[in-house]
Amino acid sequence: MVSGFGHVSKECDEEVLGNWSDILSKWRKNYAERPRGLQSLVRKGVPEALRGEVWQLLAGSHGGENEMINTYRLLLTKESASERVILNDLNRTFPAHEYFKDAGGVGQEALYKLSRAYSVRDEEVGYCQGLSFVIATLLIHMPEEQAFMLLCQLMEDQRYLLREMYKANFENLQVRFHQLTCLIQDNLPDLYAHFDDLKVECHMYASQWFLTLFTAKFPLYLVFRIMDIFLYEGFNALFGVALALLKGCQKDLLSLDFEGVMRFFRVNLPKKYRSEDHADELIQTACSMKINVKKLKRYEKEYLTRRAEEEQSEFPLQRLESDNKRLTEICMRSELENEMLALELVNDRVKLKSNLDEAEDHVQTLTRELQATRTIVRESEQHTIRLNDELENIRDAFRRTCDELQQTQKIVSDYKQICSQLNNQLDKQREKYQAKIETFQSRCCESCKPIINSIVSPPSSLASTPEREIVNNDEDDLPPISSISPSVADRLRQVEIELAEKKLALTQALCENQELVHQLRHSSSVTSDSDTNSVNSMRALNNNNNSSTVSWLSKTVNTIKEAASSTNRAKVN
Amino acid sequence: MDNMYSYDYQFRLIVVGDSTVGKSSLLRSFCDGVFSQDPDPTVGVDFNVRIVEVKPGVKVKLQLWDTAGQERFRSITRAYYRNSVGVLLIYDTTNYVSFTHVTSWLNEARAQIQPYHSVFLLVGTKIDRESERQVTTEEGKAFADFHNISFIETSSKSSLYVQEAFTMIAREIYDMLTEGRIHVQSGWDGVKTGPKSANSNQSQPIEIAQNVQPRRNGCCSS
Repeated sequence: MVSGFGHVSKECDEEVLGNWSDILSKWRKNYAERPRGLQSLVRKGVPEALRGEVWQLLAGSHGGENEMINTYRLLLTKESASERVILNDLNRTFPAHEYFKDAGGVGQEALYKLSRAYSVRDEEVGYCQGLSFVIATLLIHMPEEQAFMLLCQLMEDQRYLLREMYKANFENLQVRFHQLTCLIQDNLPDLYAHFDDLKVECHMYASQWFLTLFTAKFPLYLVFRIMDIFLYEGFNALFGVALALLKGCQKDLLSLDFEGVMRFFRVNLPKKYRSEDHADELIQTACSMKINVKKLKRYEKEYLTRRAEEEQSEFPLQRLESDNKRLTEICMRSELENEMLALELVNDRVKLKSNLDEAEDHVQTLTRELQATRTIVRESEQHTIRLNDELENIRDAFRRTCDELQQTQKIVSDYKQICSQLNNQLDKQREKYQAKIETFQSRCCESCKPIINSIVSPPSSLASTPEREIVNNDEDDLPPISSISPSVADRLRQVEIELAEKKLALTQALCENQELVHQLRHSSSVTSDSDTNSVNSMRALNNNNNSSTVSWLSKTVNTIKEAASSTNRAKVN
Repeated sequence: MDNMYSYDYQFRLIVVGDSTVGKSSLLRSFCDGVFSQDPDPTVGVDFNVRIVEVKPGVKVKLQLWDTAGQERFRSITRAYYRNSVGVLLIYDTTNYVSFTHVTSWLNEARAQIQPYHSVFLLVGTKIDRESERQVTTEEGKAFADFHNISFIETSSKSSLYVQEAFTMIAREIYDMLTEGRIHVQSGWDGVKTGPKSANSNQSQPIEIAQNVQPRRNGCCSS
């Protein structure tokens, strides 16, 4: 079962509430004086809805609020030495309660702030495990600031003086244990004897009772009832509760051995008070217990005197010797540890040194690489500049070549024109020649006709067929053309010579053209690296030129050849 | 289930270590077989019991004192060393600070437990949270070797090596007992004979002693 269980209802009897409202109205008139009838009402249990106010009134923590709130806020801004322990206990305090169950929730946050603020305020106490349960109990009933004021009151007010108990060496707690032991002896002698036999001592079961004010192991309705009477009566109410608890289970305890007793305290006792009736009974018993304040003082004195005697009874020299021995051992162990640590330190240093060396080497190589890369970059830049220059040159050359090409094309078109003119002239000459032949044939006699026909070959393919037929028919009768027309032969020779000249000119032009094409190709191959696109277009152009040149040239040459062969034949004839 | 009244010896042990290292969880895992994520902080001391078998046929009842971890509680827990024969030094493997405090717990225990012989066991907890580990197994082992004590790592959550840890320290104490390095003494609750062996012949433990191998680890005050 985890702490913080047991639902506490806020509903309350009309009559009880009426009584309380009477008491409270009286009380509010004079805080300093507790009204009559308060004790019996508190012993019956403060209504849950009123607990927040009643607890503060009982402890006298109200008033001077503004000052305390400022103090609280200031404390929150300071560092606490107990930070870690406080954090550790947050989610272990009342995890069964709705308000505290969530890590980082409002309840845990308030618990953290309050524990922290108090630990800063009272450095001698700081934070003590167990305190979180007390603080949580207060926080269930009132806002943070009021809970803080009530806590301070519980710690410092003479009636409670909890800070004495929580102080770091627990000396006061030991006094409380002794007082409780004496009270058991007084009130429950049988149980005292039994525990004495079993060597069951108060600190084995009551540390938690006192340090948490019974808040950690019991259901909340009992926890709050105990808090009611504790706030009303002061610290001694806790003795009453402890005695009542033991008295309530005395029979069980008397029948158990050491283990049984320890187990009973741990398991059975909290279980027993899961019934509200048992809880009420316990409170009534606790209130009925006679706790004599004078006796308690005497027990305290007894304990302190005994402690002092014990300390003195130890032979001083012996004590010093044992102390000395213990310290020497600790010293030796520390020295050994120191040596170990020193060794570790040296090892670590060596490792670090080697790491550093490695890192430096690495840095050096990296620097070298960086320098090399820089040089490469510089070279590349220079190369780029050079290439750009070359590109510029090639572009110029290309531009020049293009100009030349244009000129060449012009020349080529000129030649084309000349050739076509020549062709026209040739055609005209042929027509004239044909006309002359025809006139010549029409004038000559029938016997000469075949001879003439045989020498005169048809000048064109169109006229050839009928003429050849005629020639074939009358071949033997025709006289040689040269013998018939010397003027025509002269004219033919002239035309031949002219043709040869034209041929020569044409061949020259062709050669020239070829040379230009070569040049163009060469220049285009040079520029190819710099500008492939332009080269491609250039090549296309060249190819076009070549093919067109070749086609018209071959045509012309063929016609010329035909003409030449016909004249040659005529000459031979 | 073990019969609580049938055992050969009773050893009383104390479990110490920083706050929230998992002392109570370790004991709950060992004694009740349960695990709760955030048990109530131990304010003062708690008491647990369980019987283990240290060798076939030899049962030992372990009485275990669970203690509060906060520094100031040492003034209360100090009284518990005197009647203990063994100390479990607990640290949290996910919290390096708790490991560095083991030395001071060990020194405290050694100083308090004199003049009786005692056995120590270093226990690392929470090994189920491997990703949060701050103390390596090697560090724990090195510490234990340096101080000549036994060492084990456990997880109360997955009850890993919990049983082994307690059996380990019980066996070590038992071995020392049979070797005669620890004695049953009146007025000292560290070791007691159980009802079983108390009724039997006194020579029996000595016979057992001859079958047992010598202990590996030494004792603080030998």
